[in-house]
Amino acid sequence: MLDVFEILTTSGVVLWSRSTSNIGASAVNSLINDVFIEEKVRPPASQSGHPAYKHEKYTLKYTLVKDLGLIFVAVYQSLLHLTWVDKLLDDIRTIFVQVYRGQLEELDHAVLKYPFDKYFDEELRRLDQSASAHGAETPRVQVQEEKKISAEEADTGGPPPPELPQLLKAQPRAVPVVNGDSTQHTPAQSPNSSRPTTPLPGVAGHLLTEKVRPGSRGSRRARKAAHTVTTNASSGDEARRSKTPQKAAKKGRVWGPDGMADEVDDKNLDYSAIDSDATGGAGVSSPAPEAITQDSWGTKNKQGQFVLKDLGDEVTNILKSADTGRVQTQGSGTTKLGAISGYFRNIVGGKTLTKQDLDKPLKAMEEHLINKNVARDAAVRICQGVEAEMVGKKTGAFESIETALRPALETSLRRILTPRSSLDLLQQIEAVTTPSGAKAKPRPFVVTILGVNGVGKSTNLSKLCYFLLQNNYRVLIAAGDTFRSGAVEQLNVHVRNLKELTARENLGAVDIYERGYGKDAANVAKDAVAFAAANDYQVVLVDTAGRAHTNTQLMASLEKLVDLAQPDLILQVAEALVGNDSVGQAQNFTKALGKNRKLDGFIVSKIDTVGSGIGTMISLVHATSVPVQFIGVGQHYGDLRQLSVPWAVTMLMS
Amino acid sequence: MGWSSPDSWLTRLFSGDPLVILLAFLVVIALPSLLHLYFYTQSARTKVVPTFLLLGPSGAGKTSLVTLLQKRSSNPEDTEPALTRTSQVPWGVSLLLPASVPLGSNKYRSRNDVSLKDKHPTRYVMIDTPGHGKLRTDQALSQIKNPGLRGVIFVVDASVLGSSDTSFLRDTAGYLHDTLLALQRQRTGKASGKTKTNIPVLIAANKQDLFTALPTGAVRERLQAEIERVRVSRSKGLSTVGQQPDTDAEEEVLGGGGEDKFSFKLMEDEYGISIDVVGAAVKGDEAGKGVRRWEEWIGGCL
Repeated sequence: MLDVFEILTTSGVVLWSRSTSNIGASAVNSLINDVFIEEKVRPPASQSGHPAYKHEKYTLKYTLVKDLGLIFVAVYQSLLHLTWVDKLLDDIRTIFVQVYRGQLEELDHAVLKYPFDKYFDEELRRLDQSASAHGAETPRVQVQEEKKISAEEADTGGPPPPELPQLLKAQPRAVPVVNGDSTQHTPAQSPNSSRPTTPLPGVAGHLLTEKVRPGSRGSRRARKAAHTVTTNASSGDEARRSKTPQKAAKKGRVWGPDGMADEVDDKNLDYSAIDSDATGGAGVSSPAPEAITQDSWGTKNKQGQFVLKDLGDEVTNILKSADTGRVQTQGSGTTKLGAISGYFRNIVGGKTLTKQDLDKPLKAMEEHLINKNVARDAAVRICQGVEAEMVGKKTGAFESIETALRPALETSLRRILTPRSSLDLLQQIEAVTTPSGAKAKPRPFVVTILGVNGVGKSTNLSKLCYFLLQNNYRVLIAAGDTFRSGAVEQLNVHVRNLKELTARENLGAVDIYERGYGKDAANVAKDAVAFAAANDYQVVLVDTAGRAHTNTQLMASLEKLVDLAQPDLILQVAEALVGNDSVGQAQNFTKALGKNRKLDGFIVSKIDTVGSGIGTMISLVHATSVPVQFIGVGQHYGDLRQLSVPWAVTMLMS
Repeated sequence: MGWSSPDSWLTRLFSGDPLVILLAFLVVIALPSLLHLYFYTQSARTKVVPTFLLLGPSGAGKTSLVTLLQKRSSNPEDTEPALTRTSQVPWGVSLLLPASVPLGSNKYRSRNDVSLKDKHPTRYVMIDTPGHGKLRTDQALSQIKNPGLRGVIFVVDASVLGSSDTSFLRDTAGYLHDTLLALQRQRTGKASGKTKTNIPVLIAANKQDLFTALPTGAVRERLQAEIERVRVSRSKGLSTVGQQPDTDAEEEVLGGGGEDKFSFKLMEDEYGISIDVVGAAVKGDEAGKGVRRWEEWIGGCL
C-alpha cells in the first residue's frame, strides 16, 4: 500500500526510511527539485491539509518541521486512495520529533541511528484498526465526549479552520491537538482513543495489518513458534497492560471472539523483544542519545525486559502539555507587561515573528513589488513564500521586522531569477554544430522566436543574428512570418544591413530564406532547416508571425512548427512594459508548444523604457520557471545583453 | 543633599578636588589600554577552524561523502555512507581526521619524531553544499569567502562524464569553471589585502566502483578540454546588463587572457591554485581505501 515512507533533513540525509519499492530515490529527489528548489510545481494543499505531488504514477505527500529542517514524505501509488496518509504523516511527525528531539539537536544528528521501526509499525496498525472500526461500528458515548473535547481544544488552540471539520468527519475518534513545538500550527491528532473502543473485527483487521506492514519479515508461524518457547513475552504483555490506564477497554480487544485478535497482540510483544536488542545495538555506537531516548519512550518491567510505553498515552500527554503551554503564552501576551515588552522588542529585536507581526510589512512589500510591475498573483505568492519562511524566526538585535524581511525577499527573488543550468548560447551551438562524439553528425542549430504582436520579435532576431555573426557563424534567417504585410521586407532590410556590417568587419555570413506570403510557416521553417543543412549554415533563426496568446487557432499552429522544424532553442520575446498580462502570455505560449517541448527562454525587450520597474521578468519566470536568456536594452544591433541576477535584484529592491 | 549645599558630593565633584582629578586621569589613561586588551584577547579566542568546502554538481555524492567521513570520525572502520537525497541547504560538519593521516604542517618532521607518536585526531570543518543549479551561486560559491577556508573539494561523478550525452560534462565543467574563477578572483582581488592563503582544489572523481567510470587521467583531460570551451565561449559571449564597460577583462577570464590553452597546470603557474585529481568511490567494497586518499589530501592541507 504505502510504497515508501522517508524522514529526511533539508541537508539531504535520510534519517529513517521504510520502502517496498525502488521508487523512493527518484520520486523524493524530483519532489525536492520541483517543489522545494525550483518551485516549478505548487502542489495544491488537499482538503486534509498536506500538499500532494505527483511523480509518474505515484503520489507523494509531505509535511515539514521547519525548525529542525525535517521533511516527512509518504509515497504511494496514485491509484490507491489512502485517506489515512495525512493522519499518518501528522502522527509520525509528532512522535518522531518528540522522541528524537534531543538527538536531532545534536551536531552530528545526521549519522546517529534512529530505531523508529516499532513506532511506525505501531502507528500503521493503529490507523488500520481505526479505519476498519470506523466502517463497522456506530460511535459510542465515549466517542461523543471526545468529540466535544476536541471541539473545545480547537477553540482554544486555534488550528486552521478548514481542516477541522474534515478531520472530525473522517476520524471521529481523533483528538486534534495543536502541536506547539513545530512552527506550523497544524493540528496533529493523536489516535489514542481509537484502540479502546475497537473490539477488533478479527479477520479483516488482521489481514489489513498484514498488508500495510511492508517490513514484516519472516513468517508468522515462525514467530509464533518463537513465542511458545519464550515465556517472557507474555509476562511482558501483562506488565504493559496493567500499566496502561485504560485497562478495561484494552481487554475488550485482547479477549476477542477468535484467536486472531490474540495473535495481533502477540506480535506487539514481539516488538518489545526486538526493541531491547535494537536499542542495545544502538547504545554501543552512540551512548549519549540513548540515555535520552530510553526514559522517554519506555520502561523496564520486572524481568528487566524493555517494554514500550503505550505510544498513544505518551503522545497525548506530550501534546496536552504543549497545548497548555501555548495557551499560557497567549495569555501572557495580552497582559500589559507582555504588551509593553512586545513593543520594546519590536525596537530592540529578539522578537519571535508571528503572522500578525508580518501582516503589515508584507502588505507593504507586496505593494512595492506591484509598483515594480510584478504581476499581482506573482507578488502575492512571493510574499506568501516569504511569510512562510519568516514566521517563527527571531529578529536580530536592533532589527526591525522590515529589515528582517528584506534579505528574505532578496533571496527569494534571486532564487527565482537564477537559472538552473548554464545559459551559454555559444556553447550550446558549439555542441550541436561540432559534436565531440564520433556518432553524432553536425547539423545546424535552430532557434525559433515567438511572441505577441509588436513586442520586437524581428528586431531581437536581428540583434541575436548580429551577435552570432560576431562569433563567425554562418547564419540563415527564415522568414516565417508569412502573414503580416511587409514582414519579409523588414527582415530583408535587416539582412542587408547585417551583410554590410559583416562585410566591413570580415565576420560570418548571413542570408535570408524567404518563400513570400501566404505559405504555411511550418513548412517554410522546415525547408529552411533542410536548406541550411545542405548549404553548410551553422545557425538557423526562424522568425514567426506575431500572435495574440488568446487566439487558440493561431496558437495551435505553433505545435506544427515545433514538430516540423525541430528547433533546438525556442525563445519567447516579451516586452517589459506589460504587467499582469505577461503571466498569461508566458503560460499560453508554453502550453501551445505541445507536450514534448517546452519554452527554453525569454528575451525581455524594451527594458530601457521601464527604468527600475523590471518586475515583468519576475512574473514571467515565476509563472513558467523558464529562465530569461537575453535582455534588449536599446535600438541598436549591439543592444542585447545577458541577465545579471544581482543587477535585477538591486533594481527590484530599490 | 542638593546643589545649594557646599558640602554635597556633587559640589565637591565640580570644585576641582585633586582626588577627582586623579581619578579622571586614571580612567583616561587606563581605558584605551583595557579596551585594547579586551578586544585583542577576544579576537584571539575565536580561533579559526580549518574549513573545507565541498562543491560539485547535484548527484555527484557530496552528502554521501560527508556522512561517510562523519561516520569515520567516530569509527574509522565504517565504510557505509548514509542514504541521501538532494540537498537544499549548506551544512557545516565538524569532522575528525584520523591520527594516522600525515598532516601538511608535519611535512618536514622526521618519521621517527617523538611528537608524531602521541598525535590526536585533527578537527576540521567540512561544508557540504547543495549542487542544484539554482542554489550554486547563492549558497555554495559564496562560501569561498570563508576566512578559514583551507581547501576546496570538487566532487564529480566520473561515471557520467564519459557518456555520449555531454550535458553532464558541460554542467560539471561550467560549475568547475565558476568555482575556479571565484578562487582566482579572490586571489587577485584588491579588497582582501592581508590574507591571501593558497586554496588548493581537489577534484574528487567519485563513483570509481561503477563500470562506466572514467579513470582519473581521462577525467582530467575531459574537464580541461571542456573548461577551455567554456572559457572561450564566455569570453566571446554577451556582456551582462548593467555591467560597467571598463572592468578589467584580464581578471574576468579564467587563467588570465593569455594565448595558452587552459590546463590545471596553468592555474598553478599563474595563480598558485594547485589542482589535483584523485579518484575513489564513496560506496562499494573499496570505499575505505579510496576515501583514505582524499583524507590524505585533506591532511596535506592542514
